[in-house]
Amino acid sequence: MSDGENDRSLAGWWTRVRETLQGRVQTHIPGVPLLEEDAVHPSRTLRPFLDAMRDAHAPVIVDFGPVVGSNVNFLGEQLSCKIHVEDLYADIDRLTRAGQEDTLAAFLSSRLPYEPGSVDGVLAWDLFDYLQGAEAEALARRLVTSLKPGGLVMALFSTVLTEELSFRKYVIVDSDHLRHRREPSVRRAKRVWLARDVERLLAPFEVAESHLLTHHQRETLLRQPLAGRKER
Amino acid sequence: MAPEIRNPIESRLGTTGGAALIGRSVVIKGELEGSEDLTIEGQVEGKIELRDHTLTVGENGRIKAQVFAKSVVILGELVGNINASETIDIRDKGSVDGDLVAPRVAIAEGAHFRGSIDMQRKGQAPTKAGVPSMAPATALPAIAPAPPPAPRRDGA
Repeated sequence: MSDGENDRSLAGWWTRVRETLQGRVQTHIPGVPLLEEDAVHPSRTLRPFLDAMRDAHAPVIVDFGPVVGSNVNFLGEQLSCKIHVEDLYADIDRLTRAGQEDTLAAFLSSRLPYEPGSVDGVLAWDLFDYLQGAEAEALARRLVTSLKPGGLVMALFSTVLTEELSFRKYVIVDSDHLRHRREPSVRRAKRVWLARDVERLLAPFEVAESHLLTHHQRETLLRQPLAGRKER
Repeated sequence: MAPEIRNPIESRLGTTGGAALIGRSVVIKGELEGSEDLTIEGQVEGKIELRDHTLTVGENGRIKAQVFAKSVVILGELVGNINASETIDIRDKGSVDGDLVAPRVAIAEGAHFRGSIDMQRKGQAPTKAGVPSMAPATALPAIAPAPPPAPRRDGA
């Protein structure tokens, strides 16, 4: 497990410079100012997530985020997979807008209606940042039930709590980079999840990788244990 | 089941650019089968089969149906599952709630979609026993060069 300020290393800096010079990283769209609302950041867990999915035959992937056409194309071409687009952000926003936040935990308990142990991978993005207490636990229970032994969850956790009313939409640029797009919402991030809280929340998942990145996010890859899932 | 056409006086059935057209005021309930390309600007509920042809749901089209076609283009609204042998293309104002099965799926920015997308290629040989492989956490090679020791930001 690697855990640290990877991108502040000299090697990380040189890699970014080299990739930018080679045109592999699009850091700026011509004619459009580079705003924080739409920035490309490195990802350390997407590639291992994809590699693992590639090894599974016709993997089933659940995407917690809104549909992104280019992500669908990318995943389809790379993995020849089945993708379930759940857009839980929209559900959270809808319930918040309707003043029904107190029903969110119950709602999430009944979401993800998949056969137990049928999902190979979950792109959870930063959804847990927008959930608190019982809500996060309800979703975690569904994840633990749905994921195959050896299945993976890619989750991002902010290391700073902001007051912004926005979600982020994650667009896959390539296997090592994500474009973060800010989308307006009526619910703000609820908490900062520390690494130990993530492990506790998503037990019995094992932390396969965890990276603290300079854009104030921790990327975590969690894995369902292979031998006999423990009941929560 | 024979299609039920409501308000036949206002019905507009014709062709557009070589494709048959179901006009805005046409409402069809039942099974729709064809052997030519079809554009729907009206409402259809039931089942649509154009096995070797293209179905286009126009901007005004409202479909609640299971769809089987070679290619499907959606500019309007569709609730139901789509099975296409070639492509499914949801344009920027298109909306689909249902499950998609096709070797190629394109979803434009701004389109609405909720459901599953199955792009599994037929005849694809399984590589392993259906379990994502990943070495145990302790054996994972470092992806990025090992960073110099840095202070942790939280209590991790």
